[in-house]
Amino acid sequence: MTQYLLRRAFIAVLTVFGCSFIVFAAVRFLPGDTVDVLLQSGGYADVESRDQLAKALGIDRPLLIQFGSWIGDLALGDFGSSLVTKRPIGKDLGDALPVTLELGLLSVTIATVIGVPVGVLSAVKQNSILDYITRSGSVLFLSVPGFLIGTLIIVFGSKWFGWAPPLKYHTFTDDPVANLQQMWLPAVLLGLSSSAGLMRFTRTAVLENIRQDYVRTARSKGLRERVTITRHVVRNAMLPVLTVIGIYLAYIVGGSIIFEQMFQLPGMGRFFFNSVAKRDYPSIQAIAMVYALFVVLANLVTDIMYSVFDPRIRYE
Amino acid sequence: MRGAGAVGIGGALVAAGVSCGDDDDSNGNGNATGTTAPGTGSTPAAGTPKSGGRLQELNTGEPDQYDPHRDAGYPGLIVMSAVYNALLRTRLPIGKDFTVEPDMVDKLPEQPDDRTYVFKLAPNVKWQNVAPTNGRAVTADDIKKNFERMVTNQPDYVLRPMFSMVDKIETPDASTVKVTLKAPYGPFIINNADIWAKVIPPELYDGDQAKVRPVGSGPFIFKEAKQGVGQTLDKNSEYFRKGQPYVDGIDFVIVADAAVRASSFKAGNLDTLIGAPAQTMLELQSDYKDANYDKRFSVMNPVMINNSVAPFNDPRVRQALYYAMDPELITSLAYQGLAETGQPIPAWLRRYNLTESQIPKRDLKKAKDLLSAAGQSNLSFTDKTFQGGANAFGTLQLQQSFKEAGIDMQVKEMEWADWRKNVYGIKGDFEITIGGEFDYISPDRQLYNAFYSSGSANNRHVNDPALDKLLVAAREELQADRAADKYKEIAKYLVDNAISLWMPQGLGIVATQKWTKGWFWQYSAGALFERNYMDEVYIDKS
Repeated sequence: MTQYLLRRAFIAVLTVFGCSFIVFAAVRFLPGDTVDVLLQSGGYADVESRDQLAKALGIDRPLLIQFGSWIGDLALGDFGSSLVTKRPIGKDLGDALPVTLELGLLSVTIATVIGVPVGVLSAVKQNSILDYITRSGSVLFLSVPGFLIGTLIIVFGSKWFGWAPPLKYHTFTDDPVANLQQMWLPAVLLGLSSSAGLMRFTRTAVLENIRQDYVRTARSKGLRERVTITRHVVRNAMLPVLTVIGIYLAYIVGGSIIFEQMFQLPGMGRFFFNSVAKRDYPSIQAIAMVYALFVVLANLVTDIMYSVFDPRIRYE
Repeated sequence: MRGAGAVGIGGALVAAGVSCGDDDDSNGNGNATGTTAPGTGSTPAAGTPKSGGRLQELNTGEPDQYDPHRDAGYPGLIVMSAVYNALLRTRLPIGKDFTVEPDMVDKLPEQPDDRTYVFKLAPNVKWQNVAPTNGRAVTADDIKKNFERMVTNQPDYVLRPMFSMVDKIETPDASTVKVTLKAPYGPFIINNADIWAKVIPPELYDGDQAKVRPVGSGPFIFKEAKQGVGQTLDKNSEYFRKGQPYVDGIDFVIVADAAVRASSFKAGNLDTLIGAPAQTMLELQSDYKDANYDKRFSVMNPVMINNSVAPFNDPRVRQALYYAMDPELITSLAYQGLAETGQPIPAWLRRYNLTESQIPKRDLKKAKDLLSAAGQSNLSFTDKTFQGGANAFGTLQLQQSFKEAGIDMQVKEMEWADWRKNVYGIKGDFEITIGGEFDYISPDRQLYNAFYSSGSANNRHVNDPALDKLLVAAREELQADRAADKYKEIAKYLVDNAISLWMPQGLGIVATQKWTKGWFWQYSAGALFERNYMDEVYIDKS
């Protein structure tokens, strides 16, 4: 087990380092740079002025030196300062990350609470009216983008009820009620969308297990159907579902930008969007690295959990 | 009606023997000149100001930074405008002409000769009582240092072209600043009322302090900014205008989504609303009656033409484009009817506007004849714009109107920063580009930089000695009426020679809640100027 963990951890570190190089190079392939953004509302800048500013910002140095300097600081936990706002990036990350994580965890919880039981039920009641309804519902939630439903809620909520989503974000520790008032709707929308996929995946996994020999054996031993399903089928079917939940969490954390924009959530997606628009290299790199780290960690944790639940995996 | 201490730009030159305009729309074309006070025109009338409450304001984006001298963008400017003062400020009510008023000074500067301006600081002007200024008095030396900072030879200091003609600054006493220019320069007064020309205390000059945390002499103290959330300002209880500001603070909330902006306004969570698309605002207006609505201009919308490349170095080709353009089609489809005729000087600067008859009208035959004479009957070219630009600015309608004249305009969309750097920037690598243009309250800043042969913003590569001569003559003119005539002459020259094409300038709808009083409804592009008067805003829910 230790060897397995070490091997997975080593691969994770290599992956993160590879990401750091790709992220660093990718932002510099974007057309335009921070200098263009910093000089934008003055209208125009001559070449000399641009060069002066690039030098002042340190982005005129050879790329390898910039990379070395950045990665060195990163290793010491220093994300540096924004080229645009001059604020410490670590502080902005510290504000944004919990927002996105909270949204991600709430959404995944909702997705799991809805998707898994409905998926099990749908499989157990295969080809029944209930199965058809839940499958149709899942197709609906999969095919209609959550942001469309969100827009409709905002537009018609305002038109019919004079309702609008809360404007000011409060952290959970500052004001839990205000925080949840702002979080619940985007979390439900994101959760519903994910629950549809999760439900279908759970249904497939349960159906695969329900036809296995060990289930037939359990039934032939006279075990009650409920016990057979909950203790044997669901437990085994949950292994691949766990992986999917891990992937969903990473997906939601990385892909929540539209909901953050729509529901006034100052999370990572919004921070990333603004940073890209401003070609704020250190901020883009820092956010991308946090995303990369999160995805790698989510996968690592999933792998570890998988190996805990299924001992065969660690020996392969 | 005349506001206390207010005079029109003409009145700014009384000391030089120049008369003021009057307050009425005396020229019959909607161009009022002279003075106005807040609450006039279509502005909802302000009653007796009441103190208390916090103003809930929209910020359309995340501020880059808060240093006005260093190219702060709009989201930063609207915040810092409530924190800083300038020597002078501009009042620009909807439907009226602008006026220049004293801000940190007790009256408009005296002008003992055509190169000298004497500013006298208003009594009791002091910096905010927070670190690092700690409530100390503003001195003439601070103003001197501020001028020196504005003309500093650093790349991101954007005000240098506006103040580089300053030759000498003297401070005969602690409250008097005497500025001597190298040569007579008419726009000097209006440049001091520019939104970017705020006075920053010397304590913030080191490094990037002013970018991160503005501290000024203004009515509101910057408390905090939260990434992605907004900015919080608190009342400056020691503000030099006694009794002001009226509200206890301003909460700027960043709202990126137009539908959320509108729904939040309707729900009463925002006290003012700007920056939502016309269609959204029209729907809101019909849906939510319990608010005040009016219109003001969006940014200018020129078709920039590279005057140095064939075939556009032939004036006949450029003129043909002007005659081929269909402004009515653009106005009706691209702006839902909310636009006015485009001009080289922003449509809201009424005193410099050309009359309708001076602007080319659509004439397809004339367009085709001109192209034929220039040997360009099958004219084909590419408009370079940024992503999304093909469906904005009336580009599709322009394309259609050109097509009817036998002109083929292809549209190439580019990544924004690439377009900004290589096309819209000084490099000017384009045949035609459409993407909006900044408009400024100083016609000199608008025209000289863009069209003078060595102008800092001459991305159209204009090199016309006759135009250069006109531009220099206009900036040297001190008499306001004569200066206005000269700028009109330049504008006429620009449209006659089709140096650019000016498409209709769109209007946006702005809204305030009924209880929001004294919020200065401005008639400007970029909505910048209203922020000069945040000390007059109050909330009255009674």
